[in-house]
Amino acid sequence: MTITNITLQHCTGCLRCIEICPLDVLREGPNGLPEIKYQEDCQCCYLCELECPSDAIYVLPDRAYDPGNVYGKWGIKKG
Amino acid sequence: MAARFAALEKAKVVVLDKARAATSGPSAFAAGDILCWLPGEEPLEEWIEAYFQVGAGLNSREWLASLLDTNYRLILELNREGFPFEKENGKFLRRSGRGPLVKCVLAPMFKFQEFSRELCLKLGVTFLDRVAVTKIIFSGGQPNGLIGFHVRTGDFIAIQAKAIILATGGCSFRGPFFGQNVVAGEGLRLGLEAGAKLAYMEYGNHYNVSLAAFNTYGQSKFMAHGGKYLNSLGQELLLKGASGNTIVKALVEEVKAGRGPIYMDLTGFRERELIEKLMPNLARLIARSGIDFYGIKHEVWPAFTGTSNAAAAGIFIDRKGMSTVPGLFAAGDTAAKGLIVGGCIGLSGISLAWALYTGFLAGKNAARYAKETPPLRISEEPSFEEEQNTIFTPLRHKEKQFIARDLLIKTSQLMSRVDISLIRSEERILTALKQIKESQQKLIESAARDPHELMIWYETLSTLTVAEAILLSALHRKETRGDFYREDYPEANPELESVLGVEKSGDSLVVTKLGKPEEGYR
Repeated sequence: MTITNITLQHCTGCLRCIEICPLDVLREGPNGLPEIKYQEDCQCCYLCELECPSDAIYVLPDRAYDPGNVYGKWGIKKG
Repeated sequence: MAARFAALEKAKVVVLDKARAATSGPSAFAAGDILCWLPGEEPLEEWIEAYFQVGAGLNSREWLASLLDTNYRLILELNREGFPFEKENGKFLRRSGRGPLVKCVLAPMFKFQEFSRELCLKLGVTFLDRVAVTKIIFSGGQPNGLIGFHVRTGDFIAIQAKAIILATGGCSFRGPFFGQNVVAGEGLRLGLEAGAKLAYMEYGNHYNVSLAAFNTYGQSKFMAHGGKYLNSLGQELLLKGASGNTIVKALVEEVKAGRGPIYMDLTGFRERELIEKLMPNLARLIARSGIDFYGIKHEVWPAFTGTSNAAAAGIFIDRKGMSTVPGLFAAGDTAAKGLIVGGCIGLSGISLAWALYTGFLAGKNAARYAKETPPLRISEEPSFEEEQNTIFTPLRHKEKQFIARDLLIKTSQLMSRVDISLIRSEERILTALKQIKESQQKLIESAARDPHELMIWYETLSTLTVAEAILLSALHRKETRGDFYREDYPEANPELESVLGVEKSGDSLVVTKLGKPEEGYR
């Protein structure tokens, strides 16, 4: 999982999260507030959460996608 | 940084970034170590020799001397201007890391990058955020602009420029931890397509270490200040002074010998406060994950960042930061830092030091190049009608599917494998090349449904191009040299003590021997 939730009741509508997101995950919704548009591209970097002035954003820490079999022919270990 | 130095030369500077310039790339997320020789400590010659010796015959004393001597002056200049650095009793905080004679100054990089952006704005730099560049445009045999599109509006963008600096970072293959995911090798592909030579591509294989379950990074700080690696038997792996890739290879050898998985033990780590200051994102992750990060050992695995970070691969540049194409410059991870690290991959602090130094070189010299180039006449401006048509082709494939993101992750999973990118063999390289070629074909036939997906489509195109260049170069280096390992050629071959270049020939990529670093331009 990645960015999971924006609590719109807390959101001030400053749109800093949309400005700062490195991977264009967030966009302005029809109500002028941010919405999660491309969750699958979130890298869990926490920038939106750290920059949010009203603690409206919550990012889960787990890896965004399966890194695969990094040891290749020498093992399947990947945690 | 290149924009700042170009603006200081009174050039008109426009920065295009597919995300947000300055705070979206790996620099903003870096652990903050900037390699820096300082006068009054060791003699400069001692540093030059120490770094030259680990380069496996592929780096240059002249480049090292220039980097080290220039960088500390630049750091003093930035310090005077108010860029944030960590201090202790009014002096730069000094920390060590992976490699020989490593002494870095430290900076909180998000703040540093944000400060840099603000300063550039004051210098009159124009930022065009959320613009993906897809092609360099030529006129009369010279680069004279860039074209691309806005990733939110889908608008076509064309910028005319007499000098161009490619500073898009490296190619991380979507990266194994945050900060790396955004760099997809666009600058390398744009350079190749424009006729520039890439170099050291077989050394575009940087590995860090990360927790198996979470996006952690910062291996350099952890291991230099009390952290340790343990195998499954609880034995500590003693790897002091080694480069990052040498360390990761040792970890892989443990796994091969049946003593995996590998654990990171930070119970003796002494720099927790520094992590809070320099890496607030990592601190947030640690808090949010609920794990006892410093209290118990955690399983780790090799985390591939490709040509990004402390790798050697990139666009071959001269002492002015210019590529083999006049008017086309490169900086940061886009420029081949093999010129200073040679075949040694994973030295601490080298990536940010190189970014600062090459930003200075490319910025200053691109500005001067532009000043010396006659103004482009209106009649010389090309028509972009055909280019617009080509750029947006994937958006017109209405009957096709969007598969670029899947191809990107599949490529990442392939190139991350240590038996493909760390300990290689001809058989495995050829198998990987076959998959890359198949993915390239699938991508060309696939669709994008909106501008955001079109950006990912181009990221995937660039990533596949870089993967091909890495694999082809690795195929040609039939030896083991520095941090390049071939199972089928375990010894160094004196005839291959040469930089390998990759360039475009027709629709294909070809590998050539460029000779010693200083010989490659001739």
